[in-house]
Amino acid sequence: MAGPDDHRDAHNGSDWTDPLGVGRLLLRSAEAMESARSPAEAINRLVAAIDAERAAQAERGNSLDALLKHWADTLRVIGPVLPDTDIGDIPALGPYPRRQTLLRSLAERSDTYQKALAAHLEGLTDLTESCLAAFRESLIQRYGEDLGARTAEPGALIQCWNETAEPRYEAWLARAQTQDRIAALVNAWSHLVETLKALADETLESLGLPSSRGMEDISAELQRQRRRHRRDIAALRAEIEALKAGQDHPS
Amino acid sequence: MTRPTDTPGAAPELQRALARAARLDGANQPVTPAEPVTETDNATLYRYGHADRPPLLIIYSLVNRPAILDLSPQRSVVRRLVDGGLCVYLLAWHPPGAARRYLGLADYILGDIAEAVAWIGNAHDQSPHLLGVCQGGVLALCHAALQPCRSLTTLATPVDTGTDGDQLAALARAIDFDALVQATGNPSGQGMAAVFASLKPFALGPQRYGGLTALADADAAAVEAFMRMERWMYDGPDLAGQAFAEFARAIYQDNALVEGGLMLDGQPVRLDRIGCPVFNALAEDDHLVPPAAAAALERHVTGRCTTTALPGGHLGLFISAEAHRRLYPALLDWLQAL
Repeated sequence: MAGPDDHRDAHNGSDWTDPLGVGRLLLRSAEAMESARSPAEAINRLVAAIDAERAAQAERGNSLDALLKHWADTLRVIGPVLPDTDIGDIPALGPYPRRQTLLRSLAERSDTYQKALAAHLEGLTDLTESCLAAFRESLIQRYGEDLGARTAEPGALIQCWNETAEPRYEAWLARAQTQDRIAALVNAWSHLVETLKALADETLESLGLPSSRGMEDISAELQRQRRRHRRDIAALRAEIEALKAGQDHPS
Repeated sequence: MTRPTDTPGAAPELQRALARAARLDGANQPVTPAEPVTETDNATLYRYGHADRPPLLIIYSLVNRPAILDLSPQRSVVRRLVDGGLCVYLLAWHPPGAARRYLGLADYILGDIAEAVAWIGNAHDQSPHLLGVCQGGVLALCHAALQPCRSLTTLATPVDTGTDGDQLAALARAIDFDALVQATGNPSGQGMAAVFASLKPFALGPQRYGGLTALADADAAAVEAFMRMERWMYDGPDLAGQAFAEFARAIYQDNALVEGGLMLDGQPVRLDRIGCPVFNALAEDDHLVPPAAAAALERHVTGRCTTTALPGGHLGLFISAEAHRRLYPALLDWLQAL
């Protein structure tokens, strides 16, 4: 709980919440303007207020330096006490544990997605570079080194590009590494979206609005009812068939 | 004002082709007349042709729309089968809304398909032949493994995803599909189309659109056919999240049709319980369902299995001239001989 000593006199004492004195300057200025009776007097009072704050700042220069030093020393003491691990290794502590967990998951999954995307883009870049190099070679073979001076038919260029790039693309797609990277990207995206949806659902539900979680619950309930009806209908159909068979072949 | 065709440097043919394509109506209308005959929980059952003919039920994939089977009068699978003397039924899936994201494979197979088969059986007093297309082939196999069937035809159906060169299986191997559907809800059809396009970005990008100039002076039907294919490829329905995850896990991660382990409402799906005659068609250059993945079916069913391989890619099985010249007449002969 805040005590009376937490905030010193706004004009004179050092204020822990306003180490640069911006608040104090605004306060001095407002008071000066309030008591002025004319615009000219207001300007004069404002100048006086600024000068007064400058004087006070100069006096407090030493104490601000001391404050910053104290702050850095405190952080040096706190630092080693905090865990030096990934955010995923820190449990939810204190209020709103579910939201803490979701936010932690969001950070982790976003990181995983970025890495998966980077790996996939790297693969795509390598493929593109290899296709472009082969395309250039192919053009040189067809048209010679002096490519710029020749105008190739667009259709012929497209055909050349297809013939060069398509087999390389298909070989790239057939590689286990490419398939693993694509799967990793799809999975990372799915998990990231799942977390984003959960966070959005929390917010919507806290406002009393329908959420995707709620809609899915209703869909799942409808599905349970649908399956029950389908099984009932199948049982009735079997019963009718048995009755028909009984009529056709009475014992 | 400068007209687009006058733009300096732009290819006038390309501008003209684009302008013609842009003026077309934005929806794919069916080529063959169809009549909706009943609704199941997640689909509409359409009938093509006369009700006094032997019935055949097409079970289409949950991915994409069945318009590919009826894309143009010359290359319509549906019309070919109707002209071949069948009463064709198509189970057209409804795109699931958010409230149906927990629909599972069991709901489609034990619910909608079983219901449609029963409805047709009552209406015709005979069971329908089943024809499953791509993923729909897997659904049809599951049904046939659990219920006696008159006959089963599978087109480009993945059975053994453990074979070499199965790109989709390799890409799916390490993906956490439960987390993916948790994040996305129902995976979007347009997103799935982008994934499929990314497997062949050159053929479906520069090569495909590079051919647009040829449409500048083509007849209206050719421009329409191009745009119908375009709309079909990139405007697929969303997928029920649960069914999508179950399918990807069972078929592509666990190879469950071959290895076993696929359960529907507690009932094991075993291909060796399929004793009816099977006609299995595959495309030799299919990058989505490799020939080996589809051809494996004959080693696992106990019914007599006829396998037919056609040159070309996945879609060629439905729209190529070769398929309409060879495959569908052969299928009709096979059905008539049963």
